Amino acid sequence: MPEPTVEVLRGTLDMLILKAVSWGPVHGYAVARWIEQATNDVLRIEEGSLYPALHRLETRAWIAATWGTSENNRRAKFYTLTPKGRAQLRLETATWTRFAYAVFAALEAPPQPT
Amino acid sequence: MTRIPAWRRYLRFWRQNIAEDVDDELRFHTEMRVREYMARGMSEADARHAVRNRLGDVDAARVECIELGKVRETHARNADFVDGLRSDVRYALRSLGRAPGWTAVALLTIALGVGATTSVFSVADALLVRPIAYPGASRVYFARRLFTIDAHRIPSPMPSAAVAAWRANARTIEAAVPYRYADGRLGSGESAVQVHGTMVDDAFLAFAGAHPLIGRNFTREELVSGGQRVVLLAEPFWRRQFGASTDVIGKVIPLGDRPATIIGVVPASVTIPDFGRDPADVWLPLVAAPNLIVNGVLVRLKPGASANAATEELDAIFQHEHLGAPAGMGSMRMPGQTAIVMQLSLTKPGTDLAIRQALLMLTAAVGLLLLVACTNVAHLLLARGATRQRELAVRHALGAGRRRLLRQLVTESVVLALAGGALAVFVGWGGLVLVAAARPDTLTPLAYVSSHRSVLTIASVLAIGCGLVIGLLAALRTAHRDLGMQLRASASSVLGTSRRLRASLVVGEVALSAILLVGALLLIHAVFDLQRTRLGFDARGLYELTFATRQPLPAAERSSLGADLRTRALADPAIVAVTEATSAPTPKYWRMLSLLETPEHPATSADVPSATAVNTVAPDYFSVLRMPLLSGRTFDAGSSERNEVVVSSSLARQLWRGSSAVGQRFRDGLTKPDGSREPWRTVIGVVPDIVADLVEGDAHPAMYQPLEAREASGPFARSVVLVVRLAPTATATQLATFAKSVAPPGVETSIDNVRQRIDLTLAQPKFLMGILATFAALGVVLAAVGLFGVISYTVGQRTREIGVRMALGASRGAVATLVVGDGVRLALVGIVIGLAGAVAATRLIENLLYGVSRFDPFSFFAGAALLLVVAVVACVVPMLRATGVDPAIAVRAD
Repeated sequence: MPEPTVEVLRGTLDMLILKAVSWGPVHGYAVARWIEQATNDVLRIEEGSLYPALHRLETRAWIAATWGTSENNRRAKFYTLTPKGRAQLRLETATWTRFAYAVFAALEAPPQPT
Repeated sequence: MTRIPAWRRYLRFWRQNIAEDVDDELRFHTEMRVREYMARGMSEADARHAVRNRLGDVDAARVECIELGKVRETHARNADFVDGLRSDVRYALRSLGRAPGWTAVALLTIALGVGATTSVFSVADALLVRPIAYPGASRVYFARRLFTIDAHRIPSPMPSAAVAAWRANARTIEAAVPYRYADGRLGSGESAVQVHGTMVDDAFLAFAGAHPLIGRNFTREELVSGGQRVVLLAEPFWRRQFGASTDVIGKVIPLGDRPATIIGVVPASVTIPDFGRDPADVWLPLVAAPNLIVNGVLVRLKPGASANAATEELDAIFQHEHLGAPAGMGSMRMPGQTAIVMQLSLTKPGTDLAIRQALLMLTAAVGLLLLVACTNVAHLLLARGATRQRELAVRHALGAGRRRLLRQLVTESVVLALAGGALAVFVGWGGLVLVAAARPDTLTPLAYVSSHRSVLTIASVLAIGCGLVIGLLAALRTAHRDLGMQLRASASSVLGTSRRLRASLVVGEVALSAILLVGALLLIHAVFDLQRTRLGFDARGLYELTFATRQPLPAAERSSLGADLRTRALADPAIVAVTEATSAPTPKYWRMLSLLETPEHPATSADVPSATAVNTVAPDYFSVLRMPLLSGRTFDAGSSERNEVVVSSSLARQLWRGSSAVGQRFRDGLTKPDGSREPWRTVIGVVPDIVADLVEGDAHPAMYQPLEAREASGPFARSVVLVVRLAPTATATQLATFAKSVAPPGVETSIDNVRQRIDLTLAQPKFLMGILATFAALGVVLAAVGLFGVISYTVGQRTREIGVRMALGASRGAVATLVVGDGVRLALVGIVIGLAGAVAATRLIENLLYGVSRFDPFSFFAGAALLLVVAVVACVVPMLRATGVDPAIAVRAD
């Protein structure tokens, strides 16, 4: 029985991808695996949408792609973060953190005084 | 498990296959997941199923990825192109900078050629191509009434009632707007400014497709007499006179004799496209009045209506409303050949432009100049291309494709042309400013052009066009041969082949300059001839002194004022002689007497001239002007009662052919409205003809009547005109001082130098002559540069040959002859071709030559001689270099 999962919003997915490629050249499968493991598979993404997202980020020049050989000697497309992408990641992280704090604070707030 | 073949890895070497790449990527993902699930213990079928579930809509994802890939590819290709272009341009700039002398000559040539062309094209564009900026401009016509006598077409005023009738009834036109010129003065006294006014009604702005910049249009109420007087300012006048201040609205200005309230400002683009006049400074309401006449009417035809149909309909309405000419003048044919016809005619603005011919000529001339300039630049590029063969061959060997090299060469010439074009904008703009400043009054249309914004567009289009054409030609020439060969060959042996091309370019340049030069010399000859025209009187020191009163003077008062002024003038030491007349000495603006008749030939006969100019003069007029009496005598005290007149020799000749005019009689053949006829006038003397306009030349028939016979009313009754001859040492300032000192209070004085006014009629031919002469001079200089280039180059090529000749005993003289002979031969071929071209081309300026034949041998001979001399001079430096060759060094070289 799988645990309940959260639909990942598109903007959030972009941010997660940027984070995933920030440690060096990775292929799409590795990105999917990392998101799976890092979030304990809570954020179960539809992997079909992962690739358009990667290509979108490449078109925006936030990530760059090169073809290389995978660990098992297969032809694979590797992605790396560009300086522009790094700046974007920093910005989105800050925004998301503030948003999360705000929501959390609201949920933890004492009941409204009457 | 499908394996991707290893060779696919190298596919990207050739080109990207976006779809395959996307499939590869997705397949890789699937395989990895399947392998992962199988490692966890699933069967392959279960694993594949689970992976498919996890992937979701994989087809949609695939399509999206391919789309994005295409976008990236386009971006990359564009970026590549821009990168290549940037490096080409950088390379071009560097290589141009390496040869600063060469670059400067090429730039200057382009700047002069394109600049001059830009000025002339802007003028032609503004006047011939797009004379008006109105909406539906192609359907806008002037409706004019033309009074046709023989071959003369005299525009006649139009009753404004016609406009109302047309607006109400005409079905072929969309709109009709009348206009009437009204010049006046702003302010009074010393600070008064002359303003050009045009009266229009409230429909005019809409017709012109414009709105006031600030303020408002006229209202209906303001077009009725008796209301408050209002005025719209034209934008340039508003900027000039009021500093473009927005608080002028509501201001009251002293315009003419009555104050007027400013209600708005009209954009500069709004003009009456009648180029014979300066643009309006102020727009005034065309206040309705009975029998109001206007200078013209602008109509816009309905789409699809033909000009002929509109002319017929408008004329029919005109006739139906009985708006035609006075009785008996409507549209009748006189017995004999003289046809007097009053007809309505629709003309397109700009087509009846007097300077059309001149403009076409200038456009053609400047086109030739541009050709010469382009030839020269092509020449320069070829010369450069020759020395760069090795550089290009090396680049080719290093892997640059031919297309890449071609692109490089064309980029270079376009960069050159654009830089030249940037300079040309300044040259062209400066040319326009100069032209506008130097323009004679008869070329008012040029005033419309100085603010024209198309200069930039025209200059850049011309520059890029020239750059592409020249560059492509020169580049093909340079790069078309097997570049590999070049590397092995020595420079000089390869270059000989382009010599013939270079020589023919020089011949072409010389020929084009010859055409320009002959044209310019013809115009110069014509202007000099005109300047020597005999005026028929002695204009030296002759001035016209006008005393104008506010109100018309009664005849007696006017006579005594004239007599008094003449006495006081004689007392002034600066003035040698003085006489009085109603008009200036030259008959251009005299009153006209039309339809003459003699007792033998009634007015309807074809044998008498239609009209004569009339001046009214004091008895000593002829002696003061130094006009000899050819026969008879001048006026005496009783001349006025006896209706005696003096006629000019051309009038005498036209009326009485060979027989003596003295004692003959004639009169104005028109019957006055009350049915009476004018009494016969008796000729008592004949004087020479006077030339008023050096260009028109032909003497107007003229008649002089005694001063006592002058009209008691009319526009002339407000002034006393003295004609004075100054002492040789006296100046116009002295005359002005005298005029001020004797003028009664309230009388305005003005001074006119008679000779200067006559010379002004030469302004247009002189102006055209100046422009064409400038073009010709530029053309000759450019041709000389070209000739110099090709001869220097030949000398450089033949250094060895010359060395050998000298070693074998050829004298320096023989070598000099050899080199100069080369240049002269090229020049001669060019000159012969050019003269032949000039025979054909001068047809364009034939009617600007005023009597000088377009085959005038002097101009042709002088042009040829001048070019030949220039050719020889252009060969001097290369010749010196050739004769300075040291045989020992020359033979050893290479």
